Amino acid sequence: MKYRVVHTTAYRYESSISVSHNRVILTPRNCHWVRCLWHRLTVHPAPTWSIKRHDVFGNLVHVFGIEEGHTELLVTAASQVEVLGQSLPSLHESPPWETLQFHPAGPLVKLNEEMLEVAGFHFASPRIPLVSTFAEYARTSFLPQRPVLEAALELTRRIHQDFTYDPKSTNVNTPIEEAFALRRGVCQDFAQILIACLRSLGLAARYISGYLRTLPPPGKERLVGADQSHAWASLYAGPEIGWVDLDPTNNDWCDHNHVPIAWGRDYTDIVPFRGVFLGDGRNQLKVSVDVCPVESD
Amino acid sequence: MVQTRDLFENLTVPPDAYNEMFARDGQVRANWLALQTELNRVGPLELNRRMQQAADQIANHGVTFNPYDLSEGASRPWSFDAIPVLYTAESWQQVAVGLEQRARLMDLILQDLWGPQNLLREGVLPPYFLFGHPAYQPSYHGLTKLGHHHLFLYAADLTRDAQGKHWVTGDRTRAPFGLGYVLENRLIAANLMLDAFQACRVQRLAKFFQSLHSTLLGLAPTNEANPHIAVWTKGPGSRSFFEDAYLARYLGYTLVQADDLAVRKNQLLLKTLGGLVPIHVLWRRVNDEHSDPVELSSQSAGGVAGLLEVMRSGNVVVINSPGSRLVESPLLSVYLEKIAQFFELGDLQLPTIPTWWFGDRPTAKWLQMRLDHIMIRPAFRMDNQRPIYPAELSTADKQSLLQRVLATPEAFVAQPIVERSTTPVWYADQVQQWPLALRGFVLAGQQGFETLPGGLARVAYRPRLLDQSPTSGEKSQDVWIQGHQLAPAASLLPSLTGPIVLKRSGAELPSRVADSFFWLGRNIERAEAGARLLRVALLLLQNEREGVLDGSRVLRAMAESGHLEPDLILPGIRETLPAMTQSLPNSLFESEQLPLGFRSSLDHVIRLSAAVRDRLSVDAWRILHRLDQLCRRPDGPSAPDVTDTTELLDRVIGMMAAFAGLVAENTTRTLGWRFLDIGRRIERAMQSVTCLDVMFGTTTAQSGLVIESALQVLDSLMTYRLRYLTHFHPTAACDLLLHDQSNPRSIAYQLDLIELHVNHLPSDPQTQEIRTDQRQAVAMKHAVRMTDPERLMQTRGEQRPALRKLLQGLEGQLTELSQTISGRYLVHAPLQRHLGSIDHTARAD
Repeated sequence: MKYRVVHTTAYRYESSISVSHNRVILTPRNCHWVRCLWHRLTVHPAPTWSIKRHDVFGNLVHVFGIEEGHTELLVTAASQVEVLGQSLPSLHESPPWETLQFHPAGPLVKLNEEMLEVAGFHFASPRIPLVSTFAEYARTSFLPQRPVLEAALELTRRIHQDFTYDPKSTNVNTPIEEAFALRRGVCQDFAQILIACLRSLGLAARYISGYLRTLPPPGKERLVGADQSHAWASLYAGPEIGWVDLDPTNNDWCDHNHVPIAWGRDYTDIVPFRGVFLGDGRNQLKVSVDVCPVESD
Repeated sequence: MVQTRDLFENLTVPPDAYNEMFARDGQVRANWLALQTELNRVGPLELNRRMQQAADQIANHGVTFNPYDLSEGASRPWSFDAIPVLYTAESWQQVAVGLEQRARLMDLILQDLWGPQNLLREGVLPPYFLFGHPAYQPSYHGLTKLGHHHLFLYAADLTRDAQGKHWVTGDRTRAPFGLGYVLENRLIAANLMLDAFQACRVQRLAKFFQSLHSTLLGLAPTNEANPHIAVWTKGPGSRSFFEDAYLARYLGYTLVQADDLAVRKNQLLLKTLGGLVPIHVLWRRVNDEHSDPVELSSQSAGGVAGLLEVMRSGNVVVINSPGSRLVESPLLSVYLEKIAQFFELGDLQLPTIPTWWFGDRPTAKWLQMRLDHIMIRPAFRMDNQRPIYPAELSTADKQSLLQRVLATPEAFVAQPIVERSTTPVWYADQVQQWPLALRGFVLAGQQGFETLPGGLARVAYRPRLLDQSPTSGEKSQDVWIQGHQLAPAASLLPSLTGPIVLKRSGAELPSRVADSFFWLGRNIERAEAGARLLRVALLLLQNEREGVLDGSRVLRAMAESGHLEPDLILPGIRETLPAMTQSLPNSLFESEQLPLGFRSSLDHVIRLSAAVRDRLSVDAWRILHRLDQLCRRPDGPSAPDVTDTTELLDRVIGMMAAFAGLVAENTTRTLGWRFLDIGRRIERAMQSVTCLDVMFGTTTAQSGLVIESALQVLDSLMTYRLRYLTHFHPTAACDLLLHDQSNPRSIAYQLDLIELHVNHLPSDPQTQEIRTDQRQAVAMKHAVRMTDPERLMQTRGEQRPALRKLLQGLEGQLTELSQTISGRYLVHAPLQRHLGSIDHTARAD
């Protein structure tokens, strides 16, 4: 499946901003089931300076400064991606989850590149504390010797079932313990709760930001710009299987409708748009995302 | 000849600890003999006198964490002890070798963990050590170029066991505290014990600081002839501010706060009145996680937006680089020996005290057995958490501690209770032996690693007091390393080799500093005006003229300018309030009810002077410090009385005059001085305007006494008497106070100076226009000059409408000028705000 993705972020300021420093992570990322065919980031007004680099997770980061007065900032990230979809082994053939458990004080072993990368996703992170409530919730699914993917899918579905999607209940800074207690939230909350559950059992899990193509209701036209930024979780299922992406908001594995941008320990590592500006005042933010299928040639 | 007493005669030396001065057989160690002789020669009386001298000196220098802190018991970390700790060059050399090895090791670990991570790949260090650290930030990766130092300044806390072997109790790798106090201790000790200092042939500290300076110069990324080095302090609110300011001044660096810095085009710049000036090396004294709000904690407003990106681009070197706190973790000690071997540095010369990690042992049983003989610490050092001594806990607390540890055993380590050596201390007129904690410092310099020949010694009667933080303990001592220093008695910085570019200008004044100077000027003048008003009011009281005072305009002038609660002068309410003999003296110390009163203004003065402390002369600082001490509400139940307060006010006004004199005579005519004086002149003009309005605006019951009081308040009585003797006429008084340009207290005089200063402020070179502030200054000067004194004093009914109109106009214009100057020069730093990233509505499923 090929998509053309256009993600625009527009800030409007009440009074002129003299300087702004920005760091954006908006370039779709390659992995074994996604290929980014091309990408272009345009910024208006033109930045005074800019730098492109990869962060420690391998995400592409654009850093730019605008140093003359401006009252609006428009960032458009356009790209074309090909989503091959995850190829999953049969669930019961995945290894028992205990074999993937990691102990902070386990015996010291040599780590290859992949193990070193995985090691970074085992521990608490700024938005994901590891408290016993998460482990308790998860244990119902993670019965002894159960294949890890089977257990993980069941946990994903339980979160989908037990939690109510409610954009008004939480905001971007709500701690996940609070969303967990409320049993409410949005994709970001659900993804981070799933990660917390997996990590608190000793498994490695990471946070993925990306897009979700939404299908119009039957009989309706597709609305341009109505697609959305999305977030989900990824679980490390051993060297044979690798990373597997799970979407608790949509009750399943990630499929052809998911386009990943970046991954990190949690939201704070890969905030799509982070900036500091000098100046007085309030700003208005408008975001639109369009994920449009492209006919294959 | 008085028989000298041996101060060490009846000394009991604790047998179970190593003693720095006495060997086990009770003999004085050879290198202490000269000091012993010298101390005995000086004798207890003289020693006490010198200690007092030192205490005064320290108080004057404001050796305190919170020079701005005016709350009771302003904290000072330790008192100074005249007896130093002595080390022979040989024994110190052993310590130095160990310290340098550790510094090298810590630097290698940091380079590796924030770089290739071979320690993790090879299984030398568990991944938990890096990724499990609560302050781990992915952004710290790749901040410095491969192979470059992360760690430039390193400190280790040392102790000695019963055999005299040195152990490390903690490593400090962020912005090690204490170098400033080491310098201060040395200055005082060398001065106090000059003979002993010479007899002991003490190695000098200056060479270390010279190396530090040349190292920092060498770090400047470009081939700058004059690299700009700044010390980044958290500000006068922080615990290390004294030190930050002290070091900045000693080394000649610019002391900056986050608001002084800006990033433009990926360069770090200092905001000055003359524009933005590049900074090449930044000595960071703030927390790692507060360095950059774009990448790190977006919750905190501090930090410099974009700094980390500037570092990555190699456009600035920040020492120690953010992320260096990682290796302060006690957990590291468990692996240190193996890491040293991994890096082929051989055996650890200076090991950490034994450390057990609960992550890798059957915790419960192990703990139960040892609970009373250990201390427990978090595995990762976040801030100054004190160790927990289970032995000191109640049974219930022990249980809950046990539960906490068992819940997350990997988050804790245990260490044996620290053994400490004892060393002589002068306390309660005798020599005692107290436990000692010593902090040593290492520089990763251009010429390799270099240990400071000295250190920060802390002593306390109770040894555990020393474990808590680098500031805990009761006294601090100088550390003397004796003999064998190759370098000549180096003079203090900056007296380095190489040519120097001569400078005269002061345009590189940070805007924030100019702002502080401006408000310092305004507040010191406001405080002085309050003191003068109050002194006149009290004089009237003492002369038993309370009847006169009741209706007196002096009180009204006080109330109008915020130096007295307005309630006190309302007729009727007067009876229910405490008598003036109490409430007037009280008003001097009152800050809550009188936010514009004397004490509040003085509080501002102290706070602001702390903020520009590196630019004030020591003498000027000392005066302000004494003023602060002097003007505290006296202890005890009895209210301050009229006589005492009057005497106090005489001294206060004298000291303020001394401060003004120092500023006038000893301050270079830089922009800083100009802003101070503009602030002072604007405030003096404003105070005079209020006073004249109250005293002369109406003619009701205007007596000679009122006129005399006005002249007194505005400090022009002497001049008036010379001219008119005791004939108090309103027109003559008003002329002297308003129009007379030769009277330095007149409004006209202030306006002349304001115009002069404003004309010297930097202009935009692009335009030749006259600026608003210049126009405002000229307008006021003319408004006063164009009025005729006789006509101004004409009355209509009991009013003097012309005078009042002029004064009210001036009041408004002065306020406007103050705002114009603030807006143009001072508030250079608009607030940083965060873009709401994906917010509530934009975030989605």
